[in-house]
Amino acid sequence: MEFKTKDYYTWDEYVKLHPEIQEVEGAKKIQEYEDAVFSLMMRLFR
Amino acid sequence: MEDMNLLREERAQLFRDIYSGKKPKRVPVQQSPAFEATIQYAIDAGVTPPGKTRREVFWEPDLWFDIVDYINSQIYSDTAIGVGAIRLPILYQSLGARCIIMSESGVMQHPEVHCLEPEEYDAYIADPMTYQIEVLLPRLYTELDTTPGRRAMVMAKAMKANADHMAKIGGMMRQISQKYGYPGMASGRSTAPFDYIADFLRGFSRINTDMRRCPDKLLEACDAIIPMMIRESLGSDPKKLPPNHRTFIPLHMGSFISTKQFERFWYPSMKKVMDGLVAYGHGVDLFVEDDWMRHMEAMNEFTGSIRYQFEKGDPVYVKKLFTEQTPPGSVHIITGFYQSDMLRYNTKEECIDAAKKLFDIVAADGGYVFNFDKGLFSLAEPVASNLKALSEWIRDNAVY
Repeated sequence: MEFKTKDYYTWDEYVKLHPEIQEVEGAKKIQEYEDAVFSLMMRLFR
Repeated sequence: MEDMNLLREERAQLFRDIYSGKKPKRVPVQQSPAFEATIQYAIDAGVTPPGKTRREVFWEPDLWFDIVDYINSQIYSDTAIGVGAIRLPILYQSLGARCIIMSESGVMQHPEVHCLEPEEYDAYIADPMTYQIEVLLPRLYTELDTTPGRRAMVMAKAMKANADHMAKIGGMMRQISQKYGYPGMASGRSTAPFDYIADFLRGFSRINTDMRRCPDKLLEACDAIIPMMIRESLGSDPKKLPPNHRTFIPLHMGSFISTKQFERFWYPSMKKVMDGLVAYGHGVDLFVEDDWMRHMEAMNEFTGSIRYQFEKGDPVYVKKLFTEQTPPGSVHIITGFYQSDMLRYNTKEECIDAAKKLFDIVAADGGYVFNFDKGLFSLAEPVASNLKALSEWIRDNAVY
């Protein structure tokens, strides 16, 4: 199911804005940190 | 070490069998006492430094290994006994939480709060996550009710504190699992959309008003947060999750609403969340808090590998329902139904007899994981002695 919000980026959306790191494997960890913050945001409301 | 590896594999097989609908070698035992109970148990046994109170221990993760090690050395379980669904005081204090507060006796409590007003439903529905972060967070967390720069600093501080403590817990549980031969359990968290809105956004009393005064807005809000509820457990790439990943969901509001309200407000969005959570083959563990018997026909329509932990209700009815009407290809597993009060007021023999009676109903042909009706909140005697005797009896006698 599609998840759309202006306060959360998937890696695919992020690299469109920063194509210079698209092929850098380690840079994909950015998604893990995005997800970690997302989880915390969700938890703060339950 | 080899013995521990064998034990770990034996236990892992019990759960693989249960979750795939096969009869396991024996009834698996899963213990999940509240961390508050585990801390007090260790304090009473002299495991912590003299004079330490439960309230202080909650703030000191360096003391937690000995505490968790102690309970795992004393009480039999087929899964690691850890910190449970811990609410870290360092996180909530750093943020100035109004919604989670530690009591003087060291118990993390949830007072009735709300942060979303009824006239804000439209704005919330348009982009729930953004509205939560931009508008609602500072209402629940007073330290975030400040300038944008300071807000970013407070959130970074809280995130760092949370990550450090969680890393400590992760390392500790890996050590405990290695030492006692527990299998690895991969799990995520999610919430029923209606419960999520009822918990902190609108609060228990206001959600009841909303069902009458603005039912359509409430329904739209439940639908709007479905993708968030799925994303919370499965992350951005569900295909990369381990196959044994299961989502834990405590269920809140069902026992407080009528069947009509349940069918209109609670169930439809939750069914979509459940379908999303199992879409890649992962399972879901539901904690059915209080009594949901009047909703069980609908609850039995969830598909996939679903485990239901029951606090109250009729085990005979549930077993019959699951045996006769579980959707084809799905596996519905029972846990709970064993009243934790038994341990407080009865002898060891009476506790074991109660387990025998329950197992005759729910575990005769598999499909049951032993756990209590809810997390034990105290291990004060005679609870700990009874728990020990009962767990060991199940391990040795509840064999197929």
